[in-house]
Amino acid sequence: MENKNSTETCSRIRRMIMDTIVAAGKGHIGGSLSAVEILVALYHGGIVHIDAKKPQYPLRDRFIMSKGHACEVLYAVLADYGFFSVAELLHLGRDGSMLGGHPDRHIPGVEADTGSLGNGLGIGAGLAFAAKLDRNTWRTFVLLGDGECYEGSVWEAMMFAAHHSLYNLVVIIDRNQLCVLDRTEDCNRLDPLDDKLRAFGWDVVTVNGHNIAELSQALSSARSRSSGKPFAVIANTVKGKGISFMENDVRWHHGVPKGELLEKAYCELDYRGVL
Amino acid sequence: MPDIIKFLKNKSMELYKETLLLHKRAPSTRIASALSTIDLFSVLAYGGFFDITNKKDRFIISKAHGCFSLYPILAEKGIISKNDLEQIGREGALLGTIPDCNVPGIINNGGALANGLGIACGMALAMKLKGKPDNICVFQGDGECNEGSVWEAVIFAAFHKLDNLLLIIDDNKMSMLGRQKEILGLDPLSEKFRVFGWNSYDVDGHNVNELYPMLEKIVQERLNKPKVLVASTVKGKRISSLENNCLCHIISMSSEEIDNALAEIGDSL
Amino acid sequence: MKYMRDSFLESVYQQMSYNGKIFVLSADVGAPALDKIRKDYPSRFINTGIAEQNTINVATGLAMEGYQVYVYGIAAFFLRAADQIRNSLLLYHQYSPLNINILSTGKGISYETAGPTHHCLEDLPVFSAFPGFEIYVPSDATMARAMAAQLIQNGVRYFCCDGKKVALIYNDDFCFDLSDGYITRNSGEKSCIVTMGGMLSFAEEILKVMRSKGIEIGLIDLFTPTEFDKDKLLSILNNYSKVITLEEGYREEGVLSVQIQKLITGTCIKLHKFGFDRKYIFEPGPREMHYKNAGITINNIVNVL
Repeated sequence: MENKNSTETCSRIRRMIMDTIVAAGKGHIGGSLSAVEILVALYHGGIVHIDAKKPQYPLRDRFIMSKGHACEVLYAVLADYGFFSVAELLHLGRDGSMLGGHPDRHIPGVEADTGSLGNGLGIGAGLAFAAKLDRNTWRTFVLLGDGECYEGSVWEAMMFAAHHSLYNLVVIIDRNQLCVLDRTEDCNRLDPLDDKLRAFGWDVVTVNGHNIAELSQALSSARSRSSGKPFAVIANTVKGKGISFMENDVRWHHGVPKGELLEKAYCELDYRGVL
Repeated sequence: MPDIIKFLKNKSMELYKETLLLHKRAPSTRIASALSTIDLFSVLAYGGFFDITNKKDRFIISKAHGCFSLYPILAEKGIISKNDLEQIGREGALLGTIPDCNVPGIINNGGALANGLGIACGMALAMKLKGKPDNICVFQGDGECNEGSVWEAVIFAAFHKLDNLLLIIDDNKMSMLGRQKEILGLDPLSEKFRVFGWNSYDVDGHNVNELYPMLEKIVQERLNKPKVLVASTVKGKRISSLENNCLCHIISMSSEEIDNALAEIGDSL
Repeated sequence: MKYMRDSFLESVYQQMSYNGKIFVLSADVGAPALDKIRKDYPSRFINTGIAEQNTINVATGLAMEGYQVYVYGIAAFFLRAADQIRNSLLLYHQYSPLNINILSTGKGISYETAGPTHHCLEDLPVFSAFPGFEIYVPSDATMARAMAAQLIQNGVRYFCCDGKKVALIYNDDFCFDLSDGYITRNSGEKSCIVTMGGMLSFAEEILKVMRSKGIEIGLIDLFTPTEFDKDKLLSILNNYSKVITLEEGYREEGVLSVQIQKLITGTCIKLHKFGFDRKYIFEPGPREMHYKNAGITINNIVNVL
């Protein structure tokens, strides 16, 4: 994808996230902002083969947002990609709205009910296993939060995927270094995460998770491998990316800026609120 | 051969004999799982560097189904009675086929796998807070490493630098229904622990010559990292019908087979 | 309006100043009162991370070594550690008593728009089936504080707090006697509502409506569905011809409906149950909407009374 285009897309998605969260009066903003480039690379960058007009097409690629709490970025990208109307974003959480605070499969484009962390990878491994069994070429992508990697179920799924040589499974880890209360390295160390994944039998690439070109290159390379192993992309990101006072601040796991902070956020996102 | 090694080898043979006798009395015990533990238990229990009975140190059995081979040790050390051994599995007896915390000398319930390490983490932390020098040792099966709860604890122990904690993995490479590497492979197991921030060691779990110096050293080692000993063992060790038998986990030996095995030991002693 | 969890943790914080045996674990879930604990007692607090199974196992190990342990997390995700609660914690506790207090937040559908993964209508029925697991459901922040202050002896307890700020029902100087397991809020003539948790304030509304019609109804705050004095409560309920259970749980499988049904079996009391249909709720929206969809409205209840 052309650079200028992708930068514009990411800015647009960030504004949509902001609008969604302001309209809902709540939301997981930090973890949404950290994953913008990852999702844009996957969808707009053409890595995930899917047609928004045919969300149930059987041979589509599957994307699972395991860190379901950051649904705002997923909704924004799905809406922008054409799965549903952008206007729907402003109704998140309201009486009768299609969009809830965690993704569920009633929403076009959503493949799994996530929100209880640590389950997306296992579900994805099941999907990838089925595709392999049926000799289908569609692939499964899973986005994990780094804090999620504390869940044992993630490592159960890692073992499973490697054991069954799920070369058609790609996991992206949004390595924003923060969980709810702490920096991950001050809570329970995860580094060296790449070596951990390798020891569990995965191919691993580490990239700058806010650089679309790097992300696209890494994600495209997944297909050209011959190792037969599942593929992990560790995307180093900044929680709250794009709004300076939220960046790397554990207090912005969720919440909505108000007053002056809101003005500052609008200013940094270079618009005046509600697209 | 140094006296201590000779002594430990003899203890091993005694424990092997006693374990077979228990199995004869209670055929629903998991004999193959217990046979891979024998040499490790003998060295731990009689090496003189660790208190397996939980009076001073802490010994947590995570693969409890295979740990009925601890009973003869507890009886020999006077924690339970010889009569308890006789009564195993009978109505009203103290000893069931899977050890629980109601048995003197045993402090946890390991029947549901893969919880021992997490519990031991809590204990190791408590010991550190209290400034106690005691050693905490967890005895776990390799198959348990398929459970995510083990890896949650692995991450936790490394972060909290629980170097008073030693995990012994009875790596008999066999799960209930077949070979571990065919069901859900774990290799390279010790490397996995190493990248998770542990000090890991490999050993032949039946070679007392190797086991004794190694266990003696690492039980007391304090290098700011938790320690794991991956002990390569054979499920159903010494019994030809069980060794390398994929279903040995669920096989009980016949009385005749047990008698033959006991006779063989009698000859060797 | 106040968070139950904060009042509870404030009491724990106070106790930590003179009780060096208290240890607090959080599965990466925060609260303002928890921040104070973290700041002032860093050596007796651990953020165990998003790892509920290990959190319960670590709590067990600490308690086995004599610590009084508090574990804080989200209700729905303690179900993930049901195996550890049962096999590590309760089995041992029956043999040799431990002191472990699981403080959960996010009871029922209090995370109203977060969807079914964050709702939890099952923890109380599941955990009430575990032998030795004492379940407490504070109905406001004052009661939550009293529970934290009074229930400090050995025991394995589950305190289920609402995820939202809840109206204060009990005054600060209310003298809690937790021994019977329930508090009689009002005595009435023919009908009596039995409820617990944040639902109590809803029931108080009904009490007012009925009073405006000149009818007094009974109202019981059954704050522990596992530890209440069954004989005493039955003797009270026997004064009524009709009992209504009102809970943020499943209508038939909810812990209140099950316990009260069991209690009044063999009597002539008629039982009406108000609760949710046994299905997951995907539709976002405010709590009132969910109540309405489940038929839990003042009108419907008044009609039954």
